[in-house]
Formats: sequence, C-alpha cells, structure tokens
Amino acid sequence: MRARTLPRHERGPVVLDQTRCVHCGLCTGVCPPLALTMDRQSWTLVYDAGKCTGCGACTGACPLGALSAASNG
Amino acid sequence: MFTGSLAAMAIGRDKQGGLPVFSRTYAEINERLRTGRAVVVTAEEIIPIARELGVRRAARSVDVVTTATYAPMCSSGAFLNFGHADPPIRMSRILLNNVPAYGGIAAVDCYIGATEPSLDRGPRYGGAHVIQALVDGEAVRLDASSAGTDCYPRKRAVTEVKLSDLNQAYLYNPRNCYQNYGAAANTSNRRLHTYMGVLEPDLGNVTYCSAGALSPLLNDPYYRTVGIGTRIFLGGGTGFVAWQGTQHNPARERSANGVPVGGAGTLALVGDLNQMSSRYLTAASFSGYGSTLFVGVGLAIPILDEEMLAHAAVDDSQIFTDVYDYAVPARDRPSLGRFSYRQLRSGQICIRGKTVRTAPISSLQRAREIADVLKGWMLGGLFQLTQPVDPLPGTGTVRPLNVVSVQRKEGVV
Repeated sequence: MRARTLPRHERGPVVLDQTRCVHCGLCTGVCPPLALTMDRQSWTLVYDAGKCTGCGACTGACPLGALSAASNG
Repeated sequence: MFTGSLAAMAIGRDKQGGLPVFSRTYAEINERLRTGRAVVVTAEEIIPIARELGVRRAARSVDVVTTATYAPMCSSGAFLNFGHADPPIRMSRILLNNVPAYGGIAAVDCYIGATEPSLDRGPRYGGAHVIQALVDGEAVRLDASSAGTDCYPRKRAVTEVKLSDLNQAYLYNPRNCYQNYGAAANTSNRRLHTYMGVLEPDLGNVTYCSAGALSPLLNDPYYRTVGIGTRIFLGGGTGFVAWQGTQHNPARERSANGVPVGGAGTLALVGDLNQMSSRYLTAASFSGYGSTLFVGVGLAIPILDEEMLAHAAVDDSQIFTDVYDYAVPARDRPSLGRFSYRQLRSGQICIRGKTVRTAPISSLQRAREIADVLKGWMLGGLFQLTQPVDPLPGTGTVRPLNVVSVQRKEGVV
C-alpha cells in the first residue's frame, strides 16, 4: 500500500507517514525545535515543517516507524 | 471493602439531595441495552455530566461508561495451531518470519511472544510484527523442525501460512491494562533507550503511559465490575478477561479517591485474532529496546450505583503518578516527584526547578476512538455486559526476585 503522507507544502526535512502514525505523541518529547506537537483538543500529532531542522531525533524515537528523513529527490 | 471516600465527597457536593438509595443490576442494564433505552457515554463524557448533574442524578441518568486504552503492552502474544502435516511433525523449533516461537507444548501448537526478536532483522522486527502480519492477512513463513519420533516422523516443515489457514489463533496477553504506571525521566548525562521511549539526558524529557481518565481500571479502581469472564473490546474484536494479570498488585498506595498511585491492578486478556484489526493491534519497536505490541482495549463499566458513577467520573487532575529516574539502574528507582495526569498532559512539568517537557506513549486519540466504538457496539445491540464469573484479587502484592541469595549459594559472587 502506498504511504499517505502530508501534502508537499507541509513537508519538511522529515516525512510523517499518516498511515503508520498512531498519534501516541512520544516524538514530541524529543523534538528540539518543537516542530512536532500534540493538538491538545484532538490529541493528534501536528508537524510544523517550517520549524523542523531535520535533526532526526524523532525518527529514532518513533516506535511505529512513521517518521523518516525526506529524500532529496 | 470499598472506602467510599470519593462517592462520599461527590455526594456531599451534590445539591440535589433527597433521592432514595439507588442501584441497578447487570440484567436491568442489559435489558435497557436490548430495548434501546440505555444511556451509554464514554469516561470522558461522563465528567462534565457528573459535574452538571451531580453524582446522584448522573448515576440515575447513565447506564454504562465506556473506557479504553491503546498503548504498547509488552506482555502480549498469541497461541497458534497450525494443523498436522502428512507425515506429521512434533514441532519443537518453530520460526515465524524467522522469529522464534515457543513450541514446548503440543505437536503443532505454539506461542509467539510480542517481544521475541527476529533472528535476522534484529530488534526492529519481532513477534509483534508477526502477529500484525497475520492479522493483516499476510502470508507468514513457517519453518518448523524436530528430532522426529515414531509417532511424529517428519523432521522439518517449511511452508507459508495465513491466519485463515490456522485452526485457532488467539491473543493471550498475560499482562495488559496496567492500572496506572510510573512516568520516566533521566538525570544522567547520556541518552537512554528504554521501553518508555528515548529519555534525553539531564532531565530533557518525561514520558508517561496511561490514558488517564479514560483508562479502564482507573475508572473501577477496586475492580467491582471487572473480573474473570468480563467481555471486552480487544484489538478490534470482542475478547474476555481471562485472569488477573501478572504482577497484579492491588496493594499499591492509593489516593483518597481509591485510585492507585503507580502500577497496580493488571488483566490477562484473551481474544480471537480473526476478529482483530491492525488499527487496534499494532506492532512497534522501541529503539535500543526492541519490539512490542500496541494493544487496544475497551471496557464497559456498568453504573450499578452512585459509587460506580463517582469512580467513573474521575478526571486527570485526580489521578497521580510518580516520575522515576531511569538513570538509576535499580529495581526501585527514585521518584523525582508526583504529578497528576492533568499536569503531565499540559506538556511540561517542573522537576528540581527545571521545566521539563512531557510526552505520552499511550495514544489518547486512538483510546477515544475505541471508547466510541465500544459505545456504538452497545447502543447498536452488538455488545452486552457480562457479570464477572469470579472477582479479581482485591488483596496481595508483588514479590521481587531475590537474585543475590542464589548467587551466594552457587558461589557466583
């Protein structure tokens, strides 16, 4: 199955695969620039591509493999 | 057994007064469910209802409160029966997608544990992934071998199996639904990789794992309505409480409202994999730790009386847990402070004068979904309440493993 990802304008150095993400929120605790946060009403994960520095801390922390470094292509 | 403190407090605040003593039975609630007259709400929805009506009137208005959790639960796994090959084999060494399964039971039965690592793909792939592959209908490579016996002469069987090929495939999780759990932090100067996620050095973050006010056993802290035989939502299908979970610890310190502060009661759960979906039964892998299984569980709490309503109306500000320092490599890690789930859910807490970010591991979004699904099942007449066949133990504690005495005996140390 093809992964459903964020629209291009919301993509940054990290790609969030919405088909894998379960919105646990674990990644929000390791993201230095707070590019990953939880919506406190819906408790869904919010990715702000503009804040993402591509440090990769979240990709190692996500237990679902939902976060990965974007390809340069 | 029930101290009644929360109910007493809540009733004390109730200004309606004058209502007669109230109770209802499982049979009465099931009859209301059958005839479409039952009122079912989630454990989050009941909170404002109880505030508005007061506990006494809310208890009369609501029949059932649905609770849920969706979180990594390592003590999970599945029993599988493959059927007999011709000639037959007594499978003793069993690999499923190159993940070892336990074959020390009958000839073609096995137990695949969620945290068992793959032999060739390392900790990023394990038993949990095999279970999810089966649930998703994928073919799984079975490689079974044996020394051979007169009654089971075959020595090896290599094939592919799907869930639909198996005679039985049922999830049996020895410990799920932990009633509260300690949060984790790290005071050391190096990053720690744990089952509580990545813990950044120098109190860089705190992780916590509970659905809080929505969590099943936090809404029935004394296990009045959950016990052996209770029908539940499990992994997308219906399952049952099989037994007390391992490390069941009802003696854990409790707040005045009866809610334990830290890990206490647990449940052993069983359910048919054929009914399940990977939306609610999801393989995961924690970096530096290994694989585990996110398990979705939903529990329906019958409002038998005002006491049950008072318990079910608990909110995050009334549920507390300690934050433990995982930098200390000991069984009894020191607490860095006690916080409510409202504080933890705020996104930051203060430890030793430092503002520390908090992050959940349990998905509240998915837990809400499960509580809603279960509510829908009940309102649609698809799910009825079951009175426990036997209660869970209300007393008892957890024994530690005393390794030192054995080491001395054998001269290891």
